[in-house]
Amino acid sequence: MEQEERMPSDEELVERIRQGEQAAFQTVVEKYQQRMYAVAYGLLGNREDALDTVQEAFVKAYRSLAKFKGESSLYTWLYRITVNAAIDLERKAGRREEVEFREEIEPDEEKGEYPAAPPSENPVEQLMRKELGGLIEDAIQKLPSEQRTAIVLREIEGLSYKEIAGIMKCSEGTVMSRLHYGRKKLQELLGPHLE
Amino acid sequence: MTIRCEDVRKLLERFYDRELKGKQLTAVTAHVQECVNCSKELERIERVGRALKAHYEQVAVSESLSGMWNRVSEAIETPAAAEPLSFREKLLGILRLPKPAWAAVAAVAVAVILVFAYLPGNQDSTFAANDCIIDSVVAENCSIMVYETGNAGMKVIWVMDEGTSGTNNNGGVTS
Repeated sequence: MEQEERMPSDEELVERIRQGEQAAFQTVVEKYQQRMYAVAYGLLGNREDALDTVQEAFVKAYRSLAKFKGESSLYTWLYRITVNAAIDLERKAGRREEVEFREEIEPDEEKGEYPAAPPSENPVEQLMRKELGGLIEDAIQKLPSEQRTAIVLREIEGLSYKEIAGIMKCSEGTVMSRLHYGRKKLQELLGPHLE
Repeated sequence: MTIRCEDVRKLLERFYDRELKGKQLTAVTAHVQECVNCSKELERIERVGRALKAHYEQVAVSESLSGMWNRVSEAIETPAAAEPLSFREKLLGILRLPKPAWAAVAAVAVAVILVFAYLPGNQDSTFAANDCIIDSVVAENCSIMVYETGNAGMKVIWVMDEGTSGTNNNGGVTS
């Protein structure tokens, strides 16, 4: 009987990358690219920028792997780099008008993989989903960048207020405020379409 | 613990975000199970959150990321472009000079100080009134000032090593 190949742990992968095994880094890229893309897309709102950001984040991660001490999980470390890369790209494009969110976060739990794609939909459902998706993206891009960042980190990634505050370099109260006003705006824009 | 609707509304987002604990969590949980209006308000928050999460997860699932590794591996092979150093970084780099280099810098500085000290009109102080500060940096144990002398038009780097017992001056100079 053929035995199923065991997926190496992140610790093993990191060790192998440090020993110069580039295939181990490829495994890391393929394992985490989807979640990193979701965050980058949520923050930046377009495919090309999101892809560039994910690429940039992986390259930075590879080049600074020596700094990864294993105090947080590999994913959360990659995640931090992705958020900072998205912020850098926005800043370069002149879209972010404020502060640096350079502080590192230490999420408590390991984030899992995304679930598989939903079961096949009929054409009407697909159309409705696509239309709603467009509305959601328009709505979220209408938020001020601080509110958008807080919303993406909370609603897509499920980060705690403390973690978001760490990333955005603000108090938890400010995070709550940004979430509140962001949600209020999203409710105005999306609420009627979600009833 | 009973709780009024207006108080629950203020806590609903924290409840939805799983940030409530203890008595507040117990009270809000019980309240939204009984109160139709607060329950509806919670449902509105949840509906937007669910829609966002579902959409962005679907976006990620739908995106073909099969070429990502090629993009990453190509970029890794390309040497990283060096970021231009800021003025502060350049000056802090000077502080990391090896000891022999510091000795040379100090010797030059002493020579310059002596020259300036005996220039006509400069006997009172090293930094004359018509000298112009270009920039300065205050580091942890060291401060640096760059100024241009009014008389000779020279640029001087002034390094002050601030120990606990006082301030020792070492200087460097560039023309």
